[in-house]
Amino acid sequence: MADLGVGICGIKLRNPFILSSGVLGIARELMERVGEAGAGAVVTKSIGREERTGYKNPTLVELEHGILNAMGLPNPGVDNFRDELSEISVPIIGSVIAEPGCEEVAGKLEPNVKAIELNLSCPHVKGAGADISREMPIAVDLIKSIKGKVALPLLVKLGFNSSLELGKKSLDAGADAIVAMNTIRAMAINIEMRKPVLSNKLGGYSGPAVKPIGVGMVYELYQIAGDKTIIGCGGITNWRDAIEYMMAGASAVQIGSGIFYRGIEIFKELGDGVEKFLDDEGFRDIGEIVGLAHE
Amino acid sequence: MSELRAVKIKDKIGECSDVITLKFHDAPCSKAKPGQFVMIWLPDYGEIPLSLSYIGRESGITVKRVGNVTRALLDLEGGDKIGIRGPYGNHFSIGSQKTLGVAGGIGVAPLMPLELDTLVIGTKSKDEMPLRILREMESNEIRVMPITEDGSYGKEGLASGLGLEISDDFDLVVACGPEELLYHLYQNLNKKIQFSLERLMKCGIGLCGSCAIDGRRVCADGPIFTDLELKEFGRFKRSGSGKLIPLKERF
Repeated sequence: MADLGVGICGIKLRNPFILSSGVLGIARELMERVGEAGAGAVVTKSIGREERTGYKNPTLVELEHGILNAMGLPNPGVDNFRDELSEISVPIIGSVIAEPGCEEVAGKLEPNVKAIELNLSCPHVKGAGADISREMPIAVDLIKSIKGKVALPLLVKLGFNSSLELGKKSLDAGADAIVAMNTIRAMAINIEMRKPVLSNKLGGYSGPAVKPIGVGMVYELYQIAGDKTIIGCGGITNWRDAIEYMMAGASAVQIGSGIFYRGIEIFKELGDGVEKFLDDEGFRDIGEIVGLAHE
Repeated sequence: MSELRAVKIKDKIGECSDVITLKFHDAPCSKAKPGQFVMIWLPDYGEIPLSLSYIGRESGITVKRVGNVTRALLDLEGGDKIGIRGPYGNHFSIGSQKTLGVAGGIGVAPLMPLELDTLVIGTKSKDEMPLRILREMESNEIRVMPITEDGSYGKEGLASGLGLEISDDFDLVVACGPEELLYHLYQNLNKKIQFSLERLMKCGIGLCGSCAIDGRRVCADGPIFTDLELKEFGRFKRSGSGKLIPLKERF
């Protein structure tokens, strides 16, 4: 049987299927449950210095080919959140809101997490995430300040609107991995109500519709990443999707909306499906398929 | 997969002080199961989860004025539109069991589509008792036992107490209402129970984690529960930020 274990920036994971940020990673018992369901690691919700309630409802709407959401980065603030991270058996990656002072947040999370993920790409919060990444020098400074503060690997999560150049600059500034991609800035209008559905009007689009966009982004990033790691994210709902991302160059993949389409059981389905594919195709180690589509 | 629809209010019924029922035609709701909920959207006000109190060609929600969205819902008239997504969540499952319903006030809403044998419903006083609903349930051959804290209608006391007192005669208890009532029933009942829980809900489809309780998601793993590890139930809820906070009431 093929080995699904991977090493991501020096962290050993039993498999490359990671719960993405923003989904369930707010409550200790839910993170534990996702681990029990088979995830290789769990990324927390993006955490900030201060408590944030997020936007008022509607914060999410199902669309024909995907899901649109604008939660508004709700989180209890790092000091309250640390309690949720005690004694979790699955490896935790702490997501940090890209905002001034985020290195302090990363520092406070450090004792309880295996890596930090910098959310440079939330598409719908002013002054954080994608807003920051438009100002490339600020983004680079945040990466350097986190690397200066914590000894953990740093993952930088980019969005569809992030340039390849930002990816390159992030890696040059010390990021150990790029996660591509976040949700895509989008809107849904209900025509009978004549209004945008989300209270924030604009949100981030995820789900099956965005998968080819994420695969393309991973493919291009892989070509400039050198020996750094790429992690794929966007619209993965089955094992074929996961393999596609990995052949594009992802060493691991993150699953978010897939939880809605397939349930928390998706992690087991991915493991079973990928393992069978590797066996059938004669691969011994999942690492053999990373970047295979480039050859 | 449940896309958002805008539906027109067909009928608005005043029930009792600060409580109304809104009825509408909606194909997905007509196929809902008792205990499921919908997310009701009123542009500019917000979106809230509400259990379906009627399921069929005409479906409905029964709403009490508690916040901004419910206040605006009470001001709607026939012909006005509401946004709706769902039905979501799991459902009551009573089969042919002899079932006792225990409701705290407007907690009767998700129990209304069920074929109960008996309903115990408790409110503070008579003006909070949804009398039309009680008559309607009685006409469906459900034995209705109202109880008020001040004795102004039916018996005097608490619904949980009365429910426990008569529960021996039933196979199953279903309940909805304030968490204090549910917790008291759950702790003291020697019967199978299915209860409908409430938590702050955002996405409604099991992704965001806002409604987490003891490792379950009220929206996707609930809202009907038969058991919970008694850590957060009856003691804690989560605020909009996800912070765990003690429930105001002490049980």
